[in-house]
Amino acid sequence: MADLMVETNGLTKQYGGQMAVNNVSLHVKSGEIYGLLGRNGAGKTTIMKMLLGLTSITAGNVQLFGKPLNGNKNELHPRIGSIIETPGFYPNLTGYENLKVFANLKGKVSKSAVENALEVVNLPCGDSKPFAKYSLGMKQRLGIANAIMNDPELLILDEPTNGLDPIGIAEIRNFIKDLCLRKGKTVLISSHQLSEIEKIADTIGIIHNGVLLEECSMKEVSNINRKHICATVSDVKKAVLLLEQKFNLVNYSVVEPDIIKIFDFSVDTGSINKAFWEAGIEVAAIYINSGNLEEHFRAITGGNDIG
Amino acid sequence: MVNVFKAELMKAKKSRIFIVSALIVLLVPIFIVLKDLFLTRPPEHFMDWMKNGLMLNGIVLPIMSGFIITFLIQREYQDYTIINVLTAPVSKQAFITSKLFIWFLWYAIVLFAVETINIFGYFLIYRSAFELDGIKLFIECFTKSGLLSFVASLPLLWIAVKQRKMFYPTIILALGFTVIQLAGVNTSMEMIPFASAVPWSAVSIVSISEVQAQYKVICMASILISGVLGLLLSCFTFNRQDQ
Repeated sequence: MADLMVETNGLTKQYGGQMAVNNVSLHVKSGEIYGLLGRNGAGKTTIMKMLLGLTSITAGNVQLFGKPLNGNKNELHPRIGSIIETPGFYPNLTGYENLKVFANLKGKVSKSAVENALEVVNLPCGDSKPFAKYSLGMKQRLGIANAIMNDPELLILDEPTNGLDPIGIAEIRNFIKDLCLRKGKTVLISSHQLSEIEKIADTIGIIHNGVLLEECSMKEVSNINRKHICATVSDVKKAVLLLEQKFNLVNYSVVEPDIIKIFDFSVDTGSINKAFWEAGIEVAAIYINSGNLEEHFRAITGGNDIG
Repeated sequence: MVNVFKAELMKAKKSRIFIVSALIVLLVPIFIVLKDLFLTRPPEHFMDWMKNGLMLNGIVLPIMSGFIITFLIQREYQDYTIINVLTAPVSKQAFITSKLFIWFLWYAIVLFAVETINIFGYFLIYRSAFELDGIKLFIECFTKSGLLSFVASLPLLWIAVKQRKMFYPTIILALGFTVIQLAGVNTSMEMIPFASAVPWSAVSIVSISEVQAQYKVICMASILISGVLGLLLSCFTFNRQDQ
């Protein structure tokens, strides 16, 4: 597959007898935002850590920027910016000093990079406030500043909105979107907040108990899961005929022997229900399904809510 | 590698522990000099005075040095900065080397300051016996004892890496090494063969006691083995460690 920034094949991580990541094959395309979804302990952070060389790989392989990670770490890792778990900075240093330290470690960073990065995330340059006294939002923003400081092509962000208030979440969301749209960065992001991922991701990967259950574009998810009227009826053939003849509804699909999904909202649920009843069709259930990512996640992971 | 050292120096500049630990180490010879100048009668010969200084430095410096290496490593795990450091990216070898560098730099500066204070004390207390050979002897003994003590304590680096966020194991081990080093000062002749093989008592034997040449070789070998093993184990453990 061409133009893949991240590709893993059968990526596996085993701790003793416990399989943390099991045979995961991810495909992150250039310039897209890839949302990695999963519950706590699903294996999202472990995958990211393996990509960054923080954790050893039990089996499988990783390709970054089209090159195998093994043997090319020194060339590939400087092209990545990341936040993994908590943004880790020296508590006694200011944000500026912290970034200066990491700019030194990164080496090839321009002189103005620290100032620019702080400006981008709206943090002051010359204040004397140590990192220990930063609010959670400021800490997260400093984490992002550190990740973007060396102008990386790929950003790996593990729960970057964790613990932020709604405004902070929106800020970070817009910022990530902007990085992708305006600067052409590729972003691999994990999050608990499905609604947030839904707003920014182009592609999602759903991981559960270390296994990648699904990898698809958000368009596909929307198509599968778009808002519809879901009716469980005793006679599908008769019900379909009724919908077409009485209401002129053709935008529907029969998903199971007794379930019809109606994507046309020109007729309300009550009228459809009444018509079925009058035609002698038993209706076990009829409701509007909002069809969001959460629904999809639940369906894929077997009804488990994220958390 | 130079960038990694620079970053370590930037961090060290803002860390009070380096100054506080250094002051604690330096206060000991300062008090000894002041005591022997104004309060008590110093030993007859400056060599005895120097040995007392060596012994006291052999207690305080290794303990504070233990605090320094614990702080240097444990803080990175505690504050999760190790993740940002390694993803900068910094190689694991460079990380260990930079920690060793900053640890040794602090140790060498403090050791030099301790030597200076002791030589100044030698000048003030034994003015009539003050001579270039005496200064050389001070420098030789303190440098030898200090550097050997540092090499023998390198396993602390391994423990610090292995214990990650935990603070106590390295400190307790540093105290243990110091106690053994102190015990090495008063080793009986029968115990010399055994004590020479233990790196930390070997430091005292080879720097303070008068022993046969063969035991000096054993002492130096055991200290060197401790240092090399400490370093190798640190690198090996850190390389295999998942973050």
